[in-house]
Amino acid sequence: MGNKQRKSRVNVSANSLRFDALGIVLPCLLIAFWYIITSYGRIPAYLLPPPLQVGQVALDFAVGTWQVTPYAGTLWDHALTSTIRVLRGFALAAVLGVPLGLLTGRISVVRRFLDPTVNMLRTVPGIGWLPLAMVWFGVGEKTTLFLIALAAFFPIYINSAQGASSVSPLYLRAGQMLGANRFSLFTTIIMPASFPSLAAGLRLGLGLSWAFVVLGELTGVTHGLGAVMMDARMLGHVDMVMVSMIYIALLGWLSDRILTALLRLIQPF
Amino acid sequence: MIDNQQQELIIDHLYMSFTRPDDGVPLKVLDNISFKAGGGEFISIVGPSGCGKTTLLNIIAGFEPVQEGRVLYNGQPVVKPSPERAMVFQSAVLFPWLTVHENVAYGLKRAGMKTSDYKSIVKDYLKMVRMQGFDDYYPEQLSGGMQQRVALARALVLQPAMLLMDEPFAALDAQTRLTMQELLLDLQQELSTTVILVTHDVEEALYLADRVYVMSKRPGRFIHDLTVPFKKPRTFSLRGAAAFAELKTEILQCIFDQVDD
Ligand SMILES: Nc1ncnc2c1ncn2[C@@H]1O[C@H](COP(=O)(O)OP(=O)(O)O)[C@@H](O)[C@H]1O
Ligand SMILES: [Mg+2]
Repeated sequence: MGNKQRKSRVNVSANSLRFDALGIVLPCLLIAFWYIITSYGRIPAYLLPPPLQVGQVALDFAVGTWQVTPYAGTLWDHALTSTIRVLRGFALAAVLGVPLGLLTGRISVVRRFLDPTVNMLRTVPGIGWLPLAMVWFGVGEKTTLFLIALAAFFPIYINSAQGASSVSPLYLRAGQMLGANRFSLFTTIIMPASFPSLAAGLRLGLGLSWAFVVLGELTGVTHGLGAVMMDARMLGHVDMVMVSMIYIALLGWLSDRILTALLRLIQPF
Repeated sequence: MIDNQQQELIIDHLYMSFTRPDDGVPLKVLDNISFKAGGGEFISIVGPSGCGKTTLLNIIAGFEPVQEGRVLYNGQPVVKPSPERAMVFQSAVLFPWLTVHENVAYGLKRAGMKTSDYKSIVKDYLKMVRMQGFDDYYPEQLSGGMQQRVALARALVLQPAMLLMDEPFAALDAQTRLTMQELLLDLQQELSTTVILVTHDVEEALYLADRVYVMSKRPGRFIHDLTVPFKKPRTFSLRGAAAFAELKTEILQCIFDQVDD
């Protein structure tokens, strides 16, 4: 009886995933438009390659059958490199952002100590850190990790703090009345009650991680989808630039779906 | 009727005021409240909205500090909440991220009980409030009355010496309210827990209680108290009895006189 109920609620939340035909009308029109302007010679291929060519390059990038570009068959290698960078940077941001955010939301001394500094640092756009990061960490791996962790930290921290500070005092009273001490109040009331807000912060943070892995990889590493983009631009492979963009978008979307599924596993409600 | 040694809770000349948030002027809420409770007695406190009923319960529960006067529980000043004085709130305040079973088990877990030990206890208490079979439901999947039953089980499972109830049935529809009142009457007979129930429903107060205190409008003070003469167990037909109606009128008159001046 209980299980049946539970399933039906999963269905409700899965509604947002349901296919809506209206949503793909515009993309189809855009692709048709793209096809028309590229196949009737209005726009040269070195500026905008036709969709079929981009499709073939994309497939070739993954399987390497046709060798149409120097990057044929190397997708998995680059995608893995970028993904690992994203996961490392994101993990760093989450490990710092979640506990600090929760503490900021609950403990006034911590908030007064941290909040002004965090808000000040936050006013610098993430991209603005790039030159300084290159001076500090050199070109490559460390700079990329720094940029990702920094960019993802803010939404994770802020949403965790927001969630923790808006826990209903009635839940806290109920917890205390049922025998929770300060520590168990934190782990059994404040954390789960903040969870929806915390989860939203993590998803925002992961999205930013993908944006900033590209930024980091544009600056002189040899591996990763961002590096492929930069390299292809210099070699005049506009199709490869576009293909890299598409794969980054796909990976970003996929990782968000996986994160959402994991979060739902932790807290089904 | 009940001798003083048995009194678990002593409220002695309790005053309370809040600071009004807009102009900082003190707002007197409780005015010289004194009473005793214990020995499995069922006490109802009835008064108009905003008279300070919730505030009084919050002080007894240990959620609000005592400003002036004394609140003693088993001889000790009340300073913080305790499972010995369990509260059932007006809205059930179940934890929405926990299932019904987990909500009821919450306090037992905090007391260090192991899963194997509390599982059957939780089932017993869910059965007691007629909620067997709903273990895996989440609170939002239950009606208001069902949620309040679970809240009752969550409090009772800790075997509190005292149950504090803040208009627990006020948000329910009329039929559900009657059913819940019968349930509470039965459970209190069975467990002989001391109950302090605050309500604005005069009939509810009278039907359930051994003793009724009537509160004035804010600042709340006791303007009347009476011992309810009807023996327990009580049955539904009591509500129609002439003597019941007489007492009800007496209390209503009391409240009505207040509103006048
Ligand atoms: N935390 C608070 N700060 C200021 N005023 C409050 C606070 N809590 C309650 N009050 C005021 O105290 C009065 C009594 O409130 P309450 O005890 O909730 O009444 P009741 O439960 O009898 O309806 C009300 O006028 C209310 O506005
Ligand atoms: Mg109230």
